[in-house]
Amino acid sequence: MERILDFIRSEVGADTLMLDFLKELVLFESDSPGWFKERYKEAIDRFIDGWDGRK
Amino acid sequence: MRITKLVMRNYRQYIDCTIDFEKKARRDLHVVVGKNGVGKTNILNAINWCLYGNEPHLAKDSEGMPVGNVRVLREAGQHKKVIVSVELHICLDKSENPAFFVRNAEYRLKAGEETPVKVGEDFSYFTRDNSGNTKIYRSGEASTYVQHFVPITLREFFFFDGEQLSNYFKEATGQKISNAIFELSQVDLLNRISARMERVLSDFRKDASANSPQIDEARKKYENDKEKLDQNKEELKTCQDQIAAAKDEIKRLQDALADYPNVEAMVERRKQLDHKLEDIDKAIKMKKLEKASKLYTSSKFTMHMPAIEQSIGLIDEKIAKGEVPPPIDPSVLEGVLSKNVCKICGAKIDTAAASRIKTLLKEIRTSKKVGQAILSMNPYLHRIKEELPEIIKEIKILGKDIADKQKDHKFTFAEKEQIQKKLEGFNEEKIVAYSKDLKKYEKLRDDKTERAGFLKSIIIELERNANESKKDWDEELEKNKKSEGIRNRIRFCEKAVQITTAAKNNILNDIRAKIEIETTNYFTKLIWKKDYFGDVSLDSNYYIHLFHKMGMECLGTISAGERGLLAFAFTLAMHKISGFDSPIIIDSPVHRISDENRSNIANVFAEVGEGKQIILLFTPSEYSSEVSTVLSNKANQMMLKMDVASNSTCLESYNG
Repeated sequence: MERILDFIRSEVGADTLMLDFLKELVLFESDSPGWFKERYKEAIDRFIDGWDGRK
Repeated sequence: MRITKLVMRNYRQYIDCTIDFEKKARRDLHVVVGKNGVGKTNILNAINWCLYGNEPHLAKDSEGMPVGNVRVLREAGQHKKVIVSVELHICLDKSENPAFFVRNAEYRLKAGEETPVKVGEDFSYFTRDNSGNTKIYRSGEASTYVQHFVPITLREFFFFDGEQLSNYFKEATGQKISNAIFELSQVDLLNRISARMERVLSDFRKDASANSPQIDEARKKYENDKEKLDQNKEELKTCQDQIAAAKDEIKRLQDALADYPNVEAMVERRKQLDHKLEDIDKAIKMKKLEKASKLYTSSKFTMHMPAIEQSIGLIDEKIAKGEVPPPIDPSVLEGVLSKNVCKICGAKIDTAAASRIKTLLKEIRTSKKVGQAILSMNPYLHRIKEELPEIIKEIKILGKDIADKQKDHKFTFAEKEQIQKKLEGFNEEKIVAYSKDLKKYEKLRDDKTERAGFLKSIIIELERNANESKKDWDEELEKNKKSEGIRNRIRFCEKAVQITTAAKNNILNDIRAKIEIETTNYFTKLIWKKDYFGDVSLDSNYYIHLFHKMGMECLGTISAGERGLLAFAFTLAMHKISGFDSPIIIDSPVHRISDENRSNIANVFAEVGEGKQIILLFTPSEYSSEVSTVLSNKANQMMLKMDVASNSTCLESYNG
């Protein structure tokens, strides 16, 4: 898990918001739940407002 | 994480046996020595059975047998239950917090049944929480803790049989290695995120399309292009999988055929020789018949040749003298007879004289006829005389031809015998079938490689189309103010997918590079021919390649022992990179390993044993001086002994 997050971190660079979003997905997926769509959309809704798409 | 104790009750040879894995000095290295048949490999099976519920290293004669000790099960009597149990005690961290996995199987010998029947099985994990309270997890929950200990997909890198190592690269396909790498890297998790983000993205795109018919049209165009692209990519992947599978089969068949002569060619040659022998036999028969006929003719001529020669001599002489045909003109006598007057004296011919003249005329005519016959026979006699040497010459040629054919027959037969001798002991049908399969898979590989090349070129074109239609769609989205919020979400999702994909590729590349480096390092330590081999590499399909120092690939030419060492190096590398701090258990670790390499392998065990637990299972002959000299002071040594009276195996201290 840490290795995955390290690699994501190196890809995301300074975009901490995207990192936090993906970290949440990684933690969510490591529990392997079957249901995901609403959870993903809900997470996107939470993160999207503060996201600067230019990064 | 280490194994502290293995407790086996009524499990195969072990009626009641506990093996304590106590550390010796700073090393966690353990050696268990046992003769063949005492249950050495069943220690590996017991651990597998306890953790995963199956026994991958079972001997062929034990397959299908119950896991329980047969004697105990039989002696248990009817309806009395026997519990077969394996406990694997582990220590998860430095605090030495005890925990153990236990699998129990309940057996009953039912009335009228000869074989005991398993009536139940349970699996549990016992541990303690921080307050010291015992916690028990059962079945599926217990299995999740096994995944933390050694995941089932990686167990072959932790618990393995040295006897199988030399076959490792024959059986381990690129797919198998890539599966293990995917498991190690947990990139499946990233794949899952990407795939799910794509589905969420698809929803957003549909939502955006609802705002304008132009956007919807652009979306449909893009989705259509994307579908075509995905279909071709899918077909390309299938093609590549088929190529990889065909290559595996080709390698397997080439390896299978490597120890045999080219049987297919030899069988074909033998067939040709059989046909040739038939043709030679027929030709000899014909020549012999011809010779017999000529011999018959020549023998007749030869037998009569003195008479023929004499006749020719006489006739030629008579002809030379003018005696044949006789130079007598019968017309004078015929005139005398017709006029009845002698032409010389003019006297009348009386009856007696006339009779005498008639007789004389008859004799003259006969003599003329004989003379004519002799004259007509003469050329024929001459021809016989001339032909005989020709016939004799032809007979000689036929004799030589027959001798040549017989010689050819002898050599052809000898070649056939030689092939036959070489083929003896080989299962010709099987080998010929292998050769046919090899050709079939080579053709499949070539066909699919061609198809893959074609698909790649199509995919470039389709990708261009999809990118353009995507751009058009994005432009339509940009034009529509109502779509701004969704557009932002789409960009966000696309960015997330892009990051997860890049992270996944980087993780895989990182792991691949580490595996290459670690495998090369371990292999260099293990092999005694250190100046011979260069690097180990994994190609894009996760096939392993070994290079000679001079740069040539040499995996196909190394010995079985060297292949075993390479597989061992690869296994240790996978183990190291996995990050799972679990023990390594190896059955027959030096099987097929030459004496020169045995001390190297023992030194590697000692080195690895400093950092993690290693349990090695040897036969007495495998635990040879090259190995025991290195390990005896560093390892906790134990000996398995079969108690003949109870037919069960127990443990005793090793005394060399």
